[in-house]
Amino acid sequence: MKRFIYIFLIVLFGCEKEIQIELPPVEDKLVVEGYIEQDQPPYVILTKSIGYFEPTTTSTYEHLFVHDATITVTDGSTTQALTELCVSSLPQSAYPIVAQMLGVTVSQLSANNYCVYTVPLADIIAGTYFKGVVGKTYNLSINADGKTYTSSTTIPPLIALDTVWFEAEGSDTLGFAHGILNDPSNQYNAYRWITKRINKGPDGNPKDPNFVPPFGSAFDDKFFDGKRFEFVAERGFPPNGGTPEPGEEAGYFKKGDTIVVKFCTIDEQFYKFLRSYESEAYNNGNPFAAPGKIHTNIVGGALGAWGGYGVSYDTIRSY
Amino acid sequence: MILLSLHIAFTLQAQVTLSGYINDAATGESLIGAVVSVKDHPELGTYTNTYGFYSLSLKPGTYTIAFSYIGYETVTKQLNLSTKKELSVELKPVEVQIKTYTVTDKRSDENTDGAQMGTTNLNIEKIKSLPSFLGEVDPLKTIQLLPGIQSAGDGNAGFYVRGGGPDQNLILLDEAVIYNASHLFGFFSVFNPDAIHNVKLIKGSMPANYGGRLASVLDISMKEGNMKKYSVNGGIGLISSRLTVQGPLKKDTGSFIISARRTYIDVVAQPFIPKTSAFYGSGYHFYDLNAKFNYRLGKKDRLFLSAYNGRDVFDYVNDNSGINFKIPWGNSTASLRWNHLFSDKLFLNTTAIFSDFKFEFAAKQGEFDFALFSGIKDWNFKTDFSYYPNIRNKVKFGANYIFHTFVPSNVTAESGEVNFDTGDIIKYYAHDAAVYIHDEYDFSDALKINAGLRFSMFQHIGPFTRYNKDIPGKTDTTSYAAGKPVATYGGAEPRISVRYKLNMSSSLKAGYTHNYQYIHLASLSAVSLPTDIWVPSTDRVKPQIGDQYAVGYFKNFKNNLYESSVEVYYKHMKNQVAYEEGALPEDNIKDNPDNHFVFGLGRSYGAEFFFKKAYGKLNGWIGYTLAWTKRKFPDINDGKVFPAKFDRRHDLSVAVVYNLAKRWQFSTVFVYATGNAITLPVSRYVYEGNIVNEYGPRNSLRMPAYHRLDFSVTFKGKPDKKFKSDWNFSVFNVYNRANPFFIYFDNTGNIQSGTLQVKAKQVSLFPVLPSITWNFKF
Repeated sequence: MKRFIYIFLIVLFGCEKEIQIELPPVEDKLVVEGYIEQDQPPYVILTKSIGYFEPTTTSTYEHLFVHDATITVTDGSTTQALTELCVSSLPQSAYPIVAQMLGVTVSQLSANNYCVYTVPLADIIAGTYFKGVVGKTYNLSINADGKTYTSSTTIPPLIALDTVWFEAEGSDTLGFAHGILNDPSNQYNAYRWITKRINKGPDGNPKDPNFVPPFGSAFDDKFFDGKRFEFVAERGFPPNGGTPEPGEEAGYFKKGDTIVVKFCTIDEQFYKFLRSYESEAYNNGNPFAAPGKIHTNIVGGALGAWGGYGVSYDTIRSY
Repeated sequence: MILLSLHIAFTLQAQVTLSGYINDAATGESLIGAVVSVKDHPELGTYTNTYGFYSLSLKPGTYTIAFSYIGYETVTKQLNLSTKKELSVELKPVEVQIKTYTVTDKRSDENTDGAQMGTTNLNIEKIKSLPSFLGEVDPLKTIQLLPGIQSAGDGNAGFYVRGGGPDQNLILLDEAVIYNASHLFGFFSVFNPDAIHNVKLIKGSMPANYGGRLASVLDISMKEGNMKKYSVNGGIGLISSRLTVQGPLKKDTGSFIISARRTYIDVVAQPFIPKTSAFYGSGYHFYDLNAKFNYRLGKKDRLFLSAYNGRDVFDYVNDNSGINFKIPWGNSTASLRWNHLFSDKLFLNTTAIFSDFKFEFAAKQGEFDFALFSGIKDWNFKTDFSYYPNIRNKVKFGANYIFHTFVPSNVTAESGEVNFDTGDIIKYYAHDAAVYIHDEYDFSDALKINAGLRFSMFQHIGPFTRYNKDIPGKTDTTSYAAGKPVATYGGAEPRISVRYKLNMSSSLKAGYTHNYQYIHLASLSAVSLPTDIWVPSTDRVKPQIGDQYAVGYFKNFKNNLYESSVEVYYKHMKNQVAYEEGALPEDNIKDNPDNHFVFGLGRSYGAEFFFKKAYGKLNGWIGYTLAWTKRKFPDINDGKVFPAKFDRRHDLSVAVVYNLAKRWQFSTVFVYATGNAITLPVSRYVYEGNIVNEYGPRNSLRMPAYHRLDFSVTFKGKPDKKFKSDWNFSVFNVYNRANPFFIYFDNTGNIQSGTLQVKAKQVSLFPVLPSITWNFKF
């Protein structure tokens, strides 16, 4: 609603202009983006934050990557050291997951030398690698540039949606995805809803190269513990620097889309990170909103999060 | 006891009392703060109270008494006082101020003579003579032109007094508290100028009869209604139309006034929105309705009944997304007052007040329904005595009791048949009581002391449920039974101010105030909104405590034609309230909002310069404030001191009115203010391919300065006609300054392909905005 008020005010009277602002110099911070899903190896991307107005070129993103860190993941009994694999040495099977994390398409991925920390390549090839197990807690330890950072996350038990479907809204063809969630009672549950349209767009490629979360993709059961209810989900925007997607389909699914729903269970600390991260990305300086202080579950002064996903998949074919 | 001893002390001198009321000769309205002075005895004199009553005790003898009020012709009476005498006086308004005043006239020396510091009375006619925003005359905007009073910028009616927050101002409309004084997110205030009689602002040492806020008192009185004849007046403007009807219930005995204002953009626009539009049915309007009745029940008693109701209503319909919502909010107040004169020296006012503020939000999207409600409701009883034992003494004493009911945030949500568990409605109930005594005492011709003491008590009582979340992942609740105390606070609030006259035209003043504030407004966002939540002092939230020290030098020139002053202040505030860092709106739900509060200290200091030409063809003022306002919270900004959002180094206001001939009036306003302190991202990082902002220290950056020039011309119709009308043409922001409303960073392209472009964008609300208003009266 606050966003609506703000739009209303701007439409009514407002005008915008570009201004010059001097920002004070700041120190870089380590940014952790780490995930562990059931049956998947852990993936960790380490980057640095940069000053706001530092110019960017094609190599800027590559230069943000932090190399030669020592990372271990432990489930309490087994400890796995992660190795740094750069795209050139990654197996094809890891491409979609890494592309998803970096927010690029698989083809863009191949064109750059991005790096990710994961289990040794030999283990992946052998198929006997350290992988996520539902219900387990994973401790992360990072040593980068002489500093140590730690974190912990859990892959909560899987909770699949009862049913998912598409429903047109207002017009005949555009609409939202609907789902029915049956929340287990008397326990804390948090979720994340992410979708991907796999049907082909006008350019012959799948409409979404990666899974995209809509705003509010992460939610917990504070208000619906133990209830079974229907919810509505808009379609999220792919990451592209915050510019809204053009065209009438923005925010909507369209009749004819084939939508893969990745419905994840997450733990409380990861939920808190995702919630504040989405809220900040959505508000972006809107003065009617709360200032964006982003929660983190990394101890030691880094940004970002280490998150466990318990994933259930569904597919909606909207005809 | 206090009363009795005072009485004994002062009956030693034989004195006679002159008392009565001062009214407007044309309408019978009480004149507030009208001056009663004694010729050749400049040390003697008094002024009328809120009900137009005065009492002056003198030694028997012959006196020439002058009754004066700004904008009215002075009445002078020669009196031979041997016994007590009642004398009520009617003053005639001056139609045009050009001829009446010459430099040799005796004028008010309140600036240098009063002991009270930082008090300003503004008559509504004065406010109306200044340029208005879109033709809507707004008393709240006018007081922001005074030194020490800061506006928060465009689109914000909240005001900041000497480093205090918007919740630290006590805003009263006929003694009823107005909790949210703005319409449309702060563009307009709730005070309809046609219903308002007088605006009094106390920013300095507030007398002991006021309490409950740290920074200031804005005491607004509604018009009483014409005692002489029926009259209708109104106006048509760009934004709203106004209509007021008033007249005698019985001539010179009782009167009524009913005044209404409503915006009509929704009504005008509706026929042009096709029924097929997805947005059909959307709209916004606000209205204000004021009514007041008063009746004299004989010489000694008078009754007043005032009521106010105002609402903003926002309807939004969008068939494309299936979303529609309705947001109504507003205040309702009513006050019943009884004035009683026990004797010519003892005046009593007893008041029963109801005050209510509500904010509602109801949304629907398909099967999903959401409703939010928050509000505050008060039942308030007050009794105030004014006692005038002798010429040197004016004593006020009384008591006040309020029963508060707060609903900080109540949410219901359902999807089809399923109700979401948003928790029980948790209301906060509280007793709020105070007794006070205040004395204005003239020790000598040079030395005057205003001293007061207020004892206040606040008790948060059950029924109440406290959520305890100290253990992560686990929630306990503690319940308190109805009437059972949850927390009790109280204390003594001394206030003192001293005036020392250096000579006939200059004085030194000093003041100290110690205040408690038991209710708090917490805002999640950077601007104040009707969604901000009022919360009382509880087991977790301690009362705010303020100490203010002020010193000033006051000098008048040319027989009070020019007034000037310099005031320096230092303020210290304890237990300031803010939301914790990273708090989100849903944290208030199924929880106590105050569980998410953090507490800290506030400090402010500054100097205020004021120069005013009070009368004449050309009149107006210049005010300049140099100030610092800081906050320190252990849990915000890593415990480091940070500037408050409204910390403002320089604040300059110029207001000028020029009367050209009888029918033309020109006015202009210029303001300059240091930019607001803001928190901006200083670095960024990539997560999930998105650019994420990392913010710098709290309020460490500044927006560009705010400055603006407004201009207004009023052309008045012929004054002798029965039907009078005038045209007002106002231009807001004459030189089209793009003043910052907020700043954000706009990203285009993406970092992965190296096409990322970042631009700082400033959003401004109001360009140059001309407006025209037609006012009529018959």
